[in-house]
Amino acid sequence: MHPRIGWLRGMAITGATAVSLAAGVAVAAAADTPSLGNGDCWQASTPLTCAWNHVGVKGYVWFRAIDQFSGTKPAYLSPAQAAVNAWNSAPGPQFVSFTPAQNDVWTYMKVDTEGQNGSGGHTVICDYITKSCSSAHQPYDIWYSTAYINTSYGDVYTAAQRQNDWGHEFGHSMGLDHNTTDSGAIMWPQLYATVGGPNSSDIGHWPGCTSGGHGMDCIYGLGD
Amino acid sequence: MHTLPSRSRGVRLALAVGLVAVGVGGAGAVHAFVQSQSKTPSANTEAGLSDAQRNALYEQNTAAFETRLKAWYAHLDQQHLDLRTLRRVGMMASVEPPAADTLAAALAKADAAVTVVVTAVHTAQASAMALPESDVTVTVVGQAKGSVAHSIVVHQLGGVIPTLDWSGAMIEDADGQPMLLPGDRAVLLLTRSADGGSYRLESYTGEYLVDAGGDVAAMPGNPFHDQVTGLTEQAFHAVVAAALHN
Repeated sequence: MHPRIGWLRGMAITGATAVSLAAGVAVAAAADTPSLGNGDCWQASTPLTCAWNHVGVKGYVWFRAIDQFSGTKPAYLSPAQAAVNAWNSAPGPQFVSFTPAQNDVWTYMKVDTEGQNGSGGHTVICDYITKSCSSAHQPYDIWYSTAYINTSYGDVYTAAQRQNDWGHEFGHSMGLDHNTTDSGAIMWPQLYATVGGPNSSDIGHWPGCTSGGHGMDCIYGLGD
Repeated sequence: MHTLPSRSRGVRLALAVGLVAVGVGGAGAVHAFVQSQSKTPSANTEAGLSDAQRNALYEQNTAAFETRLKAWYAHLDQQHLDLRTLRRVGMMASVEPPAADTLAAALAKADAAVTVVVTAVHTAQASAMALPESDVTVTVVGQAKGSVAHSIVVHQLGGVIPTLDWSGAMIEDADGQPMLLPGDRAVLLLTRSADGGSYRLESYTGEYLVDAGGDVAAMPGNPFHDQVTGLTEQAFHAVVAAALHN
């Protein structure tokens, strides 16, 4: 990235963060509702944010992708980069990159070989408070996480399917649950999809945080 | 399919600024925000650590968790655990799409279609970072397709896992194939593993629970869910038989 562009982006991030804390004043009551989707951390026991972003209030979050797969699976790299870029360039509170950022939360990206067990990929989140790790969707203070693609499926994927699977697992690593009503969402749970990045359901713009939606804006408290 | 609006982060920032202006003018809103802050700001205890140090910290934690998880499973009395009392949570995993769009096609893909009663469930997790998987032992009380033994083991994604704080257990369910529990009566569409050693449920179309009243329920995400859910078991068997003979 050109240093100037990076600087500008950095400035934008800083400004947005500062504003977002205050913006919560206006959106808190609307967003803090128990009707936000099934199981997302926002509505459960971590009422302010589900990522351990060192701030403790609603706001923007930085996730850093850690490549631990391309040494053995170089063909998986380009789709992974595309998935990360798609999340980063989408609206929402998340900034996602392979490069470091202050107070970033790590997501290891790995491959495993679990055989044809029915799952093409999964995510394990490790919780900062309890230090426990789990692949179950439940409230977390996300300390670090690991997104896996099962090579038994990944090796026969097209590049678009790999991008979809990486993007899907990255959504989990940030706290998102499955979206079982919108097949155009990256969080649609079925393999072999070719959706390349998050859509309005994944971000929380549709149908809206106060209307049963549970995308990134909703679980990080930015609201509608 | 819904597409993202094309607004930029800059536009969002402008909106946020506007919301601030609204927020500072409303004492009620300020009160709501203060009340909602149950978490105090936390210091970044990893500030200043190198990447290598952070990586070592995470690896150390994962290894410690792995040790504790193995001990937890080793001491868990799964045989006497009342699984029906446990909280159920979803699995963060992508799964195979439905095996077929129609019951006839699903039956055609199945190696066996059987009515069973579940007798036991045993969960194992290959590693701390692996998915939990379970061996579900069932007694076969009826066969519509295939020839299977009186008692077989169905291998299922998901199973019993510890709560994050280790205070109890819960059940992790994969999308499209919720865990079968001891005492469940169900019609199952099964595929044989490549080595022939075990059976698996067809994704989304493999599990039909029979409730205490004798009615059948397909799983959420089954493409023909509405056509079969609510049928009596007897009626469902008739539909299965008809599909097999057509």
